[in-house]
Amino acid sequence: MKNEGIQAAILAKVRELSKSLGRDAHALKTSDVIPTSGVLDSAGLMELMIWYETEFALSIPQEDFTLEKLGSVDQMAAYVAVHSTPA
Amino acid sequence: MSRAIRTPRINNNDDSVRLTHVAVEVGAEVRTGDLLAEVETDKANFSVESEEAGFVLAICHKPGDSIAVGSVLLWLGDSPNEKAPTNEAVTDGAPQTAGTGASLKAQLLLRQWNLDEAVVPRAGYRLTAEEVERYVQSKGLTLPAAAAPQAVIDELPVVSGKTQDLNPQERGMLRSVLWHRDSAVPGYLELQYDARPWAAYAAAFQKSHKLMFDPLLSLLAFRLAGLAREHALLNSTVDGHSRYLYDHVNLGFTVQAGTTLYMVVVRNAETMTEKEFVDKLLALQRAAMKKSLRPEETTGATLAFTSMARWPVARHIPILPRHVSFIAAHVGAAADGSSTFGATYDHRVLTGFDAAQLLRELSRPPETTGQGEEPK
Repeated sequence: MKNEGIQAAILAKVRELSKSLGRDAHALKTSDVIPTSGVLDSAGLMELMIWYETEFALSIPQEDFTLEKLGSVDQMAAYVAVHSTPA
Repeated sequence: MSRAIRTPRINNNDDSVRLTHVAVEVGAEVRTGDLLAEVETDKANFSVESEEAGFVLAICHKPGDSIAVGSVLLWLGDSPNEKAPTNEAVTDGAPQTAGTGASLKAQLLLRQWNLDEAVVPRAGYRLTAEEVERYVQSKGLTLPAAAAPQAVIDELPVVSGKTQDLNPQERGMLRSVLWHRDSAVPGYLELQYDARPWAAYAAAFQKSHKLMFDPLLSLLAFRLAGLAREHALLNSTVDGHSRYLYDHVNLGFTVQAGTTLYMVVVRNAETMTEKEFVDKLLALQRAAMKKSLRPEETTGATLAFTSMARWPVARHIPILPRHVSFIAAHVGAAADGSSTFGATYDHRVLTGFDAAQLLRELSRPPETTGQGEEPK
């Protein structure tokens, strides 16, 4: 999957989870910091990360759960490019 | 012909009454409805009236006596010259054989000790609780092992349906609920507090450690574990008639993973720093979401924390997990920063005052209490 496709998939998941919480993530940009944007709560963010690991066949070490590495859609897409295990 | 006037039963739980007043004398003539005597228990007084006309032949007790229900109180005859029956005959007509009845208390004791009513000697009309207790003591009996708690199932309505087995998580929930119902003596209280200092503390911690996830709930749970180090009762339960003080603080934390509610357990929390605790709890939450928790990660909680911050509920009264005496209940803060902390506690272990004090301490982050690890 190309970077744009990964970004679109992540963004769609963020919007889906946000909607389930009664929030709206349509204005979220791929460079926005998701945890501080208010579109997801802590549990929603956790759900996003579990989906992200499964969807892109990642095994993320605990220390990588930082705003610098996985804080935005852009960063998450870039992380996939580096760490994803080829199927 | 002589007739016995027997001691009446005033209520189901009292197998004896106290004679407070005798209103007649031997030889006196009485008419139907005349007052003969007055008796009482701790709960009620009762007037014994004559149900027939006659003469008082004998009064078997004096005021102040404790009299077994059903025993003869006095004798009436057709003339004042009749002789009252002897002691041997006094009980004639009153059932004396085993198996003819037991008081409610006695029945409960018989059931508790798994005893046949017929084997317990009795002196009076009905088998009394005291007689059962004397028998148990004389035989040196011990209580049968307690059976595993079972759900009390009400009779199902006459509506067609099907039975479904519970999954392991649901069975765990059932065990907790039954423990809460059958073993603990739960109380609940709540405290309003200003949530902003905690929010600021968590934000600073998140920033200093560059965390992706808001650590507020984890930090609150860590604070609770810290309080358990300072207040031993918080980390204890009741074992029979003794208190059981846990050696370690195993912090239970509820995690909703899809439709399943888990209680993940951070073991030996007393040995951890804030960061270690936050990391461990995050790992357990991830395992819960992936449904890959190991048995030891969901058992052995000695203290617990739960939050309903995700849902805008005003009040959350959690049940006590098994063998836990305190579970803190967190809800989200209002727009003005005010919030409420609740706690369900086992009143066998903690008083309402204890629980309120603990909540008060929990509502303040370490910065203001001078304890815990300062955010970098």
